[in-house]
Amino acid sequence: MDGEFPDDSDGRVLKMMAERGLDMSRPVKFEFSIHVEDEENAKIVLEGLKAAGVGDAKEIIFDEGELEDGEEMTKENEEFWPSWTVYVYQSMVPGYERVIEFQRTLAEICKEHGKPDGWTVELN
Amino acid sequence: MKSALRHLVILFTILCGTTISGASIQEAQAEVIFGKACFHEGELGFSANFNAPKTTPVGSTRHVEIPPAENGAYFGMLENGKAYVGKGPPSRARKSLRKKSREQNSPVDDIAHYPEAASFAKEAELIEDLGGLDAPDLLNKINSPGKK
Repeated sequence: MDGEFPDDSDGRVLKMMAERGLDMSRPVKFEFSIHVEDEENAKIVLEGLKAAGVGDAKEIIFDEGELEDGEEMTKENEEFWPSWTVYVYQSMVPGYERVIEFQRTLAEICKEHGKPDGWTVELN
Repeated sequence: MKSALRHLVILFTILCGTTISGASIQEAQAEVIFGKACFHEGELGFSANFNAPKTTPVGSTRHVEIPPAENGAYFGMLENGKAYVGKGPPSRARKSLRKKSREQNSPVDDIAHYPEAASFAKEAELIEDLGGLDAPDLLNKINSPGKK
């Protein structure tokens, strides 16, 4: 543990938020991301989220990636491949257990169709 | 006026080591590249283009180096000053900042990714289990930063 946040990635980001002056007692807009293989799986995940009533808002976004002209997709440049993501926007008071629990809920809804792989918060 | 202009252009040329295209500055298209700003001589005189194309396009992160990691925390900033923190692997950090860059129409300035500390701790445990750094078969000769 480091202060009030566990020593893992979720705890570290929450700590960064607190250190950078974010009011941790007020709701913050979290942007949770679910990696999906293709559009078909993205739609299945989105329907699951809607049915469960999870998230203030959600959307499917195709990211065209950053491969250069003629550049082939290899394991080494995977970070730059085109990809599909389902984003779930949720306002909540920042807290480790809340963030972990929300990601757990997303994983249960996604099942084999997608994988929650992170979240983002704007600092200013 | 033309003489003064000629001297000014020559001065730029000497100071900056640049060349002037065009046979004569009287032909109104002499151009001196001065850093990112382009100076054009036209009928109305010099004008400075301080809106020269940016080197980093919106939605690009290829100029940012991120070491491979399975997971971690990240801090990203756009050129307009917007800052973001997040959790995820480097691929997610890039996707997230690409998205923000497009939403804000501002290029990505930089991304710092901090690998999950637990993975270092696990690596340190693994090294110990394999007999420490002196183990003959241990390929990883670099001690893990997670070792306590």
